[in-house]
Amino acid sequence: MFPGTVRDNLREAAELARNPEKDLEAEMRAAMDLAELDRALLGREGDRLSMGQKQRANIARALMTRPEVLLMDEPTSALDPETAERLADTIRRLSVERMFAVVMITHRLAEARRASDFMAVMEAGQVIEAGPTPEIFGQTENARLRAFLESGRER
Amino acid sequence: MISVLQPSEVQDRPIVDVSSLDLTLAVGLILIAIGVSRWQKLGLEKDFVVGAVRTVFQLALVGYVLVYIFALDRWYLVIAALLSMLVVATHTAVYRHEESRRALLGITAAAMLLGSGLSLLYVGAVVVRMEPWYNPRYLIPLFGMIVGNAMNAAALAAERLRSEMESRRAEVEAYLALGASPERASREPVRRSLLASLIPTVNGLMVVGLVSIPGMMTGQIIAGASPLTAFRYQIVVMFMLASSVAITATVVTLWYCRIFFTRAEQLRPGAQASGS
Repeated sequence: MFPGTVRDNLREAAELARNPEKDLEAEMRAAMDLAELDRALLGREGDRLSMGQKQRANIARALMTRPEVLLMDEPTSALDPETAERLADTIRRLSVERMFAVVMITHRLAEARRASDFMAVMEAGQVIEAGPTPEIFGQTENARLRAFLESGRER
Repeated sequence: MISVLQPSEVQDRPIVDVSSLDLTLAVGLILIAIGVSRWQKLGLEKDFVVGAVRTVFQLALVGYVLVYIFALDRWYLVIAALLSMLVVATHTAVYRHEESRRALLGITAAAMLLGSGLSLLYVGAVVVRMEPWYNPRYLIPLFGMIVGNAMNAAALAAERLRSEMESRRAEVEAYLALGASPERASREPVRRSLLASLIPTVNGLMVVGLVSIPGMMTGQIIAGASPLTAFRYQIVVMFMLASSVAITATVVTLWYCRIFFTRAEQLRPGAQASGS
């Protein structure tokens, strides 16, 4: 988080992206809602948030820049599974509504399945399989990938 | 001590000379510092011994060198003396830095040359108006004082910037991720390291005369100058320190800061990422 309150953080992001929105306050509230963060937290100092709140505040902050492509590296790692799933749904919905692409890195198979249209599976820095998400989770000839998907089922 | 400084008494009392035996007795003071280092396991015992020996030799030597330079009175000798002071100060400012020492060497030298040079130029050309312009009697001691302070400010600024960039790594990366320039992303670390390096100088301005009686003033007074002349010089020196320290610290932080980023405006991988 940047120094200052959550509101300062969101405003800073809007300024960095030269977001011309007139009603910044309304857009901030919308971003907070989308990231499932209580609006009352807008006035709280960034360093007084919990890890999960910080992660969601970071997502709200990223939305303030009105991205065309959103790169997310483990955006839900500090969230509980249910919230993480809801957030994945939200991001998917947003990407359709606001017309941006999302590239997400995750260790959660369920999240990848739920949120993506297309996925690449990596192992030791190498892409071992890539394709439309339903195909990856459906039939695959790749034995290593099979084992990986099987092992992930319990997680 | 204060009573010695009374103007009326300066003339009629002889200057107390410090004999070689007195100097030997003064070694006891350094032993106390060595004792502390040993007790708290600071590992500075050797540094103190080397430092003490260097103090004796360097000060003895500089006495003779100054007599020589004053007598010859050549501009190139004065410039050579100033440059060698700058070289030693640069080396001292960076040698405790383990990382990016090479880059810091150039940055610190340039920053101190600019900060001290400009301040000295202003004083020499506008305020004191020396005759001739290279008058070593003024230039060498004045330059020594400002370079000494600039050296500490440069070392503080660089050290603080490195630690701020490390502890605020996540914050800096977040700025970059949202499209900020490296300058914007590092504004807070830069601000904090400038603050840290300038505060000793501000404090110095606050307490001069009340707590610290500066070396130059003491020296002039002991040598027989009127405290009224000495204090005027000291005011010039204090203001000169402020400008040289400010310029030096600014150049060091802004320039050193660029080293943390790649050409593609990414933060270079550092020793340790922490926090959020």
